[in-house]
Amino acid sequence: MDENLEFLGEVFDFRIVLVQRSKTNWKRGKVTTLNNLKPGQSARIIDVDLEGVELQRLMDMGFIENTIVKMIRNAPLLDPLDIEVRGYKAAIRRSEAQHIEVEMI
Amino acid sequence: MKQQTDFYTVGLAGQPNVGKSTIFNMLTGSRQHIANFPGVTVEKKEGRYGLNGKRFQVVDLPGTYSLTSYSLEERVSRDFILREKPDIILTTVDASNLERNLYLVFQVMEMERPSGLVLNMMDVARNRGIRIDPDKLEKELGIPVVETIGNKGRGSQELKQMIDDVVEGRSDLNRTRRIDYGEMLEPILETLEAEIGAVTNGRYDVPARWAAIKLLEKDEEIQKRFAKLDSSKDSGILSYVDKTIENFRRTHKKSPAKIIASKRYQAAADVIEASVNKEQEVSRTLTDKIDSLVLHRVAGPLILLGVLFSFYELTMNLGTRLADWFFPFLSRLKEPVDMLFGASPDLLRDNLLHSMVSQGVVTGVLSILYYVPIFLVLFALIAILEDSGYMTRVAFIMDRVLRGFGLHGQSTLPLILGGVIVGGCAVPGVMATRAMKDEKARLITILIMPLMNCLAKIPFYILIVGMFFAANQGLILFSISIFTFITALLVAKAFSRYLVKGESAPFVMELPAYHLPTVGGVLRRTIERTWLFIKKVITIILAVMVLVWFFVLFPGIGFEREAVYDTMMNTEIRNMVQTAGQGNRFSAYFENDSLVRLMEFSDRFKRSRSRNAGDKEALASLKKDFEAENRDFFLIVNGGKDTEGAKYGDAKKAANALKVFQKKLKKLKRERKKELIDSSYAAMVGKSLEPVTLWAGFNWKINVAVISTFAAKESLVGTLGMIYSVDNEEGNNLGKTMKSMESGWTVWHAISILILVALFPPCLATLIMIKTESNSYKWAIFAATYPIVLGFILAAIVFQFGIHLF
Repeated sequence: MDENLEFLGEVFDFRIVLVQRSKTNWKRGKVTTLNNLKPGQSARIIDVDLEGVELQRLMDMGFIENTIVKMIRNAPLLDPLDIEVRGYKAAIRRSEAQHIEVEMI
Repeated sequence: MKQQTDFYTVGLAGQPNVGKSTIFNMLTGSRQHIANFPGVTVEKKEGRYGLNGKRFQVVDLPGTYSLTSYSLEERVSRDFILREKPDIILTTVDASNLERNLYLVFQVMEMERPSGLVLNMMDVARNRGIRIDPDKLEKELGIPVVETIGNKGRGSQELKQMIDDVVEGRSDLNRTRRIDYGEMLEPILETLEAEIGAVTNGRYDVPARWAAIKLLEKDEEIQKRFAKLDSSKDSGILSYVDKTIENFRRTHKKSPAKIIASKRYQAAADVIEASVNKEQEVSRTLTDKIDSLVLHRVAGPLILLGVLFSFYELTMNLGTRLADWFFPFLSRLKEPVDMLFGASPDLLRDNLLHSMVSQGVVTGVLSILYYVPIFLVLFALIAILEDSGYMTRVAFIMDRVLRGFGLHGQSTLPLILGGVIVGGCAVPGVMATRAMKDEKARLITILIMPLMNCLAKIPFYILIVGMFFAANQGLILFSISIFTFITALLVAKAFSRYLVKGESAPFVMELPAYHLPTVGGVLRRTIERTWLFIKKVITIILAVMVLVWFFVLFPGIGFEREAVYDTMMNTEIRNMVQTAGQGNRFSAYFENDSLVRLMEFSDRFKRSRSRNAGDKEALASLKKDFEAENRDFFLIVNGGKDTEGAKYGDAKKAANALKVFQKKLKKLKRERKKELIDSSYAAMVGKSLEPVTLWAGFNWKINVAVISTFAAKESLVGTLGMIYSVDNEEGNNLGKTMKSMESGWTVWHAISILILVALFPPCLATLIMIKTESNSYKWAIFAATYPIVLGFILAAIVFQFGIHLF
């Protein structure tokens, strides 16, 4: 229960900022995984559902809880994805993006 | 080393794509040395410089995003910091991408060595409207900060001054920022630190807090170290850590590792918040604009194709033209060697040592040096692709295709280096796989490297293609590339399904901002890689060529046959005297020693004349020189005329007789050499293999050439040249000679041998490289054998199919 409240608090905090930034584009945060984002869509990372080296590698590259990511484009053959994260651009395969749980913003 | 107060070690850390190498070059200039870190194949660049009477040794650490134990590069970097205890660690960061870079900076700072920050690419950051306040950044981080623009060499003095200040303890910023890992973790870390102090007890010199963090991250290497230090299994520190992590996960629903990474990024964000001011949001950077074209669904692949094609064109055309232009100069290296040995007193046979040095050693070296201009062009183009940032886009576009075959987008560069498009070298190709994080894809990439069109195969392709497909050279060469590429992909697919086990690592690759490559940077890399190639091949090729020379010329044809040749030559000499006519005073020169001298004079004259062909003045003065050296000889070799134009009948007759003799002698020499080779050791081996290899249409001569290539493919054409004993003097090239001697060859013979060579096993140097990079003899031996089996079977199938159906 505590955790849920904490979680909601974080979400709430975050949304206030967002509303201030872009009043028109506000949407209720749908929870999905990173591979489902369409080009131009942004989302906030909720969790990375991996372990060991895979988790560490993604975290080192900045894919961490509460980070805002933006889907830029698909590769010409639709995979991998070009994602903007923490001010730089990263290529990530769909199979990995599938493990990154995000909330649409 | 630490005792010497005037000698300091500077460690250079940083993430990839931050321009770390430009900082390294800025500090050390050209005084660099490349080696490997002890025991591993990670490249270690060292350089030196002096300042204020002190000497600084700069060690360039591999570019890494983090300092975990998951990759070799990261382990090497942190081991260096722990063991060598450099006097200062400089972390270079990309000012336009500070957040992710600070993530590494904090990890370096946690290792508790004196630190400094190099804020590189300040110009890029400024253009993007990012205003960084270095003073505030210094205060936030607690370490000195220097602004640089590495590729323009700006900030060098300030950087050196900062290094000096830090190693001298003059920097007042001696309190580095410590990341606060929060109330969830800090108490645990505190307990662990105390525990670690008790366990190591001075036996393992490591910062306690750092070790505590690593243990909570479940760092395997640190776990191993502590397992060794702490023998008590159940009550020991490791089981304590395990329990703590387990408890932590239960209460907080997250692993400590996640919190640690998240806090590091939090700290980075805080530092940026305090010291960076984004003036105006640049909505679309230049990189974004380029990417929207270069990575466009339709335009992207087309541009890629265009880039690869121009790559092919430039290397093939420009490179080959440069090589052809340069080669005549190289060939002159042969002359001093020939002069050194002088003329052979035996007109029929070369001096044995002379023959070994000239045909074995010098020919071998020259055949390698021929490639150097091509290599320079190839490596320069690759460096441009890498430095500009386009190479990662290639990986991005290609990943989906390559992944289907068990490879990786990052396999593209190694494969290009190995020669997927036009010729490269498997050695840098195998080396370039080091950048790949995906171990399985990396091993497969290494294994298919032998199937690429390494530069050494190209001369052979050109030879055969020139003989049989002269009209469509370009098309056929292109088809060979396509054929090898498709074969390599299928082989990769088979390997990944049936042979190479293991999980694929995640594919997360930075798409760095585009940069204009600098001339200096490109040149440096080009020369480094070319030099590596030369160093690798020269020694091997020398050994091989001498060996081949021996196997091709020995055991000889026996005294009886030699005597027959002597008799035939003496007959020709008598004929020459007769042709010159009775009482011709020039006939006196057709005897013994003077004939040898005359022949040498004649050769030298012809060579000099052809070199100065077209230049009338030079030719005239040259003739004067020769006339002065020996007037009678000159009259003969000049066709009976002196430099004034006066004609001498006897000399003219002698000249004609000599010409006939020279032709006959050449024929005799060729016949003898052919007989020599036919009865050589090499021929014995080649002939014994013929029953099998004839299935693919290969005669023993090809067999010999192929066997010799096991050591270095570079020698393939050279060996064939020896076997077919080509006389280069009269512009006879190998293609013409082979064609005249192998008149029974069909197009199918040509295709068959092209297939075999295209799929040929790697040379010795590549095998050594495969062994070191895959860390297993098994894979090296496998890489040596499967291509020849595959190549021969395919060649035999195509050949049998071809000759029976058409």
